[in-house]
Amino acid sequence: MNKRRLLRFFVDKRAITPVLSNLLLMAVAVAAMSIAAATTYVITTNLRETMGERLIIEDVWFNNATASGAHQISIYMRNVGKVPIRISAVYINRTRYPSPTIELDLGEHGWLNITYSWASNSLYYLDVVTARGNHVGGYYKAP
Amino acid sequence: MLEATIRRLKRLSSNKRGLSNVLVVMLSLILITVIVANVVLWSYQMNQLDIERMHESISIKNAERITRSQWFTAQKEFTITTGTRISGSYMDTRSSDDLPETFREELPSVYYNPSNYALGDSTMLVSGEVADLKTDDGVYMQFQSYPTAFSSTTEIFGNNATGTLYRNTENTIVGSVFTPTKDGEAQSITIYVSVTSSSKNMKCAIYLHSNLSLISQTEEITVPVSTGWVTFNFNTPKPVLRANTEYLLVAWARSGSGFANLRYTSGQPNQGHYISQPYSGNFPNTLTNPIHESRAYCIYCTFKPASEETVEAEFGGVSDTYIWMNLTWTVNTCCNVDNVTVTFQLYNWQTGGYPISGDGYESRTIGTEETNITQLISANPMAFKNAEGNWKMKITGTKATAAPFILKVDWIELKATLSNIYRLEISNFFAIDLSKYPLDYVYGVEIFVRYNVSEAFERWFIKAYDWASEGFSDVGFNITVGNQPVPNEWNNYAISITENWTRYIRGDGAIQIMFCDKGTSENQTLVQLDFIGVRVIVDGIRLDIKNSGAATAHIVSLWIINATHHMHYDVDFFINSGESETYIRVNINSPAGNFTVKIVTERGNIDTF
Repeated sequence: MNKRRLLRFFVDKRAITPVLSNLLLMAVAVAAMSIAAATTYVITTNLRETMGERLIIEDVWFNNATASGAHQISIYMRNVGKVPIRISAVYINRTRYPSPTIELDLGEHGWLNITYSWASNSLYYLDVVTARGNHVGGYYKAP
Repeated sequence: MLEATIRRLKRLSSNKRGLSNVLVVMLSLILITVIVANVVLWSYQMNQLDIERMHESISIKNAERITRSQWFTAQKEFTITTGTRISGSYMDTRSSDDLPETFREELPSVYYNPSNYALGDSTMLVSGEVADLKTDDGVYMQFQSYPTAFSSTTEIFGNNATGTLYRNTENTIVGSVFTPTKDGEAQSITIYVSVTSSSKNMKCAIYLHSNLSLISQTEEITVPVSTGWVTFNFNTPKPVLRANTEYLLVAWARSGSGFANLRYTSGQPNQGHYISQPYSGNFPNTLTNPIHESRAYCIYCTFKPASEETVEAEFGGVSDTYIWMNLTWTVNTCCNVDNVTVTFQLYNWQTGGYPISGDGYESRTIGTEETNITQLISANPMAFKNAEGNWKMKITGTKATAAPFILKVDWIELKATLSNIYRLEISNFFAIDLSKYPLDYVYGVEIFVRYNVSEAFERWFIKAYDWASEGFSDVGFNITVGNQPVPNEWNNYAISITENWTRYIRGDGAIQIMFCDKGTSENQTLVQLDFIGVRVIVDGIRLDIKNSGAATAHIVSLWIINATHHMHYDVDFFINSGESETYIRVNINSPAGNFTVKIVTERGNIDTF
């Protein structure tokens, strides 16, 4: 009896098409949702990290007594946010100047030195920009 | 309208594509909700961070360079090496307020207690040890007396009943345990024995039941064939018996024709003892594994009760080799009975014996109440110690009684005065807070004393304990000649140690200071100590910081800025909301001239001064 039923299942070609179509539809749906979920994760992570950045400038030192004798502006920064920060650019009076790329972990702090021939009693607008696009800055007067 | 809605719903349910549309819409909504919720939640958290930062309010009220720490004062009472505290306490020396702690000079003395003891004759130590004699605290060394004189009358202890049952004593040591109620001197042992067939050589003995050791044995007698009481006398010296002690009285016979039967009556369990042992000239020193039985053998001991009890103990110690101006010895003692005549004798090394009158000798009648016996020896006190400083004292108690008594000794002390110069020497510990002032940033030590003296015949000195050489010293002090005070006025005496000062500070920051006179005046001086303190010389900065915000502030960064330098220092300092705190930092070389101080909190707020 059972043997006969099994034989009929394999010889009945009409049953294959609906099964295959359902399986294919499921695979397509899962793939689509996975892509959507991954995209969501990436988007929200970027948003969160951008929102979580907090950077302060503790001190700005217009230093003219460096070992090399060159004038430089030293900016001491502290990461007070909730994500690690990478400093990507420094602008002095809205002009980008080369600076070492530094990374500050949570609570970390350190100097950022820019070689710049500053002039006494001049006012400078310093702007520090992170890799995520946030920036912190202000006006500082050289001594 | 309703019909149209129902119709559409029916079409939706019958149309299978509708279900897919609903699923897609719902999943999309879920994704959008997740994105929005994530962003909103994170935004809320960051806003909270920003609000907290905005509400934080920290300000520097004052900033100044410091060159001295605060004064570290006494935390416990002064140790007095020589002198007496009259009034006040160490708390009075912690502030300069004209409320002093007062001391008085005294003649310098040394104190000694016994370090060993020896029991006289048969005196027994009941309890205690020689260390118990150091203080008058009710913890005694207790000694039990022994009989030293005996009555002319006699008494017996044992079984003097005439029994009918018997055990043969030939080559067998047989006897029973009995307990006298008085101390006494044993005179003889009497047995009720039945000798048959031939006479027998017999002797008796007395054993201490607690360890079955032989105390003494009697003469040997050849007992003829008979039945009756036979007495065996002890030879001289006759054994001394102690009241309430169990003794085993035994008899022993040489083997011969017939028997030597020792009679008995019924006794207590294990009262009777016997052991097979071939008869010889002497009893064994100890009886090994005797067999016990419930028999009271007909054997008793005749003894002279004690008429006098004596207790004797000798205590010794080591003193010094200094010259003594005078000597005072004190003994605190009592007995468990009244009317004990106790003599106290301090050994005279010059005469080579214990004195029987005068200096070094006292005799008192002591009862159950504690009594202090004190004697001052002003003439030739050096006779009471030998060249090595050894001394010894004998205490002897006697009482006319047959019952033993106990002598209790609580305290023995010898106090020797070393000179006729009045001295005051006090010291105390002062603890420097090394967490605030690490030794690596300390440049010296300062000591300050404010005091008042009633006499001004001598100078006064400050010394500090040198932990390396383990003694008080003034090496490295800026003043080593002391301070000459004005009498009955407040005098300030300040010392600065800027060289080799590390020798005076222990690893945990403790510094021990001694304040003393020069030791040249025979006048007794009253000294009032209003203030004594220690501080360290540092080079640092002190900030008075106020947190007027609503949350605790955590300061993480400190900046010292002048025209040429921007110096950054890591800080880990918390201030509660609404509180003002002083932050001291000594590992900072504060720059000369004007400078700006800046602090930064963990939340990112900055304040400058």
